[in-house]
Amino acid sequence: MIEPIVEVEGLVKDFGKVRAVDDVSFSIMPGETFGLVGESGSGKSTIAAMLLCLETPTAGSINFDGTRIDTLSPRKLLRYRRRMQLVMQDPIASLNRSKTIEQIIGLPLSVHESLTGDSRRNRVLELLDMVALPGSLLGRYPHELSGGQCQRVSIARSLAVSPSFLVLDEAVSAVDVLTQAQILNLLKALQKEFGLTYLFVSHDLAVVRYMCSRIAVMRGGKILEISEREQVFSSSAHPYTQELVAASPASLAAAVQDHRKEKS
Amino acid sequence: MDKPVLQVRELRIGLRDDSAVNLVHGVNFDIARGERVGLVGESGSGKSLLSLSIMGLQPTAIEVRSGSIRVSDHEVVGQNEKYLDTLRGRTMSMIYQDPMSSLNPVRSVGNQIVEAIRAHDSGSRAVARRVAIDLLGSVGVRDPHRTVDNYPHEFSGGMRQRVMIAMAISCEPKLLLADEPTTALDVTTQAKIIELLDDLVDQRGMSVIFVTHDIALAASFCSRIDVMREGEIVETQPTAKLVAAPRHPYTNALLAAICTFDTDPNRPLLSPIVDTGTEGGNSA
Repeated sequence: MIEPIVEVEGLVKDFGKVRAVDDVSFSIMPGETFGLVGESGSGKSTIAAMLLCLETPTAGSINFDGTRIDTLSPRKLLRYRRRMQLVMQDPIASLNRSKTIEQIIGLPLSVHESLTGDSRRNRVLELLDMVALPGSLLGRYPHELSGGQCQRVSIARSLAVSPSFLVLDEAVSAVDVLTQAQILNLLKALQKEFGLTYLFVSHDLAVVRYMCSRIAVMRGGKILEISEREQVFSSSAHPYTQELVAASPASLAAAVQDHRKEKS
Repeated sequence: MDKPVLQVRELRIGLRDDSAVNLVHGVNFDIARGERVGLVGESGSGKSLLSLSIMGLQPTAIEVRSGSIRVSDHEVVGQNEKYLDTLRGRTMSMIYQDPMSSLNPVRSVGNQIVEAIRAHDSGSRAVARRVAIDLLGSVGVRDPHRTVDNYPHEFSGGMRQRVMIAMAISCEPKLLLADEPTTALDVTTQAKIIELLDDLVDQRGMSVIFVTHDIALAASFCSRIDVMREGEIVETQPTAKLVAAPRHPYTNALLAAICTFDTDPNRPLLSPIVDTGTEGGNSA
């Protein structure tokens, strides 16, 4: 029997008097893309941060590959850190602007794999190739790259330590539709090649539907429902889910046209 | 036949200090009364530059090199600020992507709307305040008699965008330019703002330029879509036609890249023909 790679039980996070995450439980199977959707403030990014041990839960537990990680000492945690990585929303702001692409992708290789010199450079070139970027970018700085290229660098950096689990927090929300399509294709191809597991956080339901096999819908810190892809878009979905679906630009186009027909 | 509300002819825009860098290359288009035109393109396509130039608000490093922009038969190109100020607000008006940074954080929203009204109208403060309250009510801000004295930070993102819209329509412009007005908002808030704009535009008979990178969103609101790429309009068609039968391969690529609820999750997005080099500026 296959065990989940991530198992979250009764997760709670309070910021002062505000309960940002309220009794959340779910599990993610190896090789799966699990979607987390909701509006801003629904708690989805806080969950992502707790999974990566960047925030300490107020209550509840997080298991990664059978080990409880939310209570580990920082030293012991380091072993797990390299197995889980993060890709953030803003591709340019999430890269250190004073470092070259080689230094940015090379940093996790120095920290986790003690690589230096040529062996480090060769691995960086390999990683650039993986995300379909030319080796000529090695000496360039983030501001010399397009948004899409920066997001590919972010992905290459996250793959540097050969993780098994990636948290993609609104990873394609800040890029144009063409770039978005290319990044989504790349993420799917990488997942297939390396058997990666994804937590895909987004407010765009059409993109979530394209990427995820199971989807959790969040509001006000709670998970309203977790269901298989097609179920989310059926009439049996939670009313709030249906509201999100209806508000998506894909549905909006049809709705506005109906609205106009009625008026005329 | 009515004269178009906006008439752009052979418009060329470039960097002021470098005559070799051209950003908009001879664009032509008209907008009729009540028409809603979507200006769609990727970042760097020149769509925002074009809309800022119509307002005469292009950054100082940028100049309109040649061509003509006529709004309600008034030429914009080459005019001084004083003249442009007589057009802004009353003839044309603009809403921006980020409502927080477009509002003054240290003044109440009521005062900001009153200021906008009185800049163009000689009426008294008290009258302008009543108009401001009415406007806030008409854009769906709750309890406008009280909230008129609130500051921008006391509103949510969606409500702030409503305040911006109230300000933009306060002098009943003929042309409204909306530059990514919902990009910073949640999908549910976005839907509500689009619905509001839809009603306001109809009620007031405004013409609209809706600037966005999101062709699906443009399709939901606009009667016509102009697709921009690298400083040129590559395709102009009524929305339904453009979506059903795009003529330009780039438009086709934009449409193919959209995730919809019918997209097959087991197939890559985009057609392979356009999967290269569309990312813009391999800035090498």
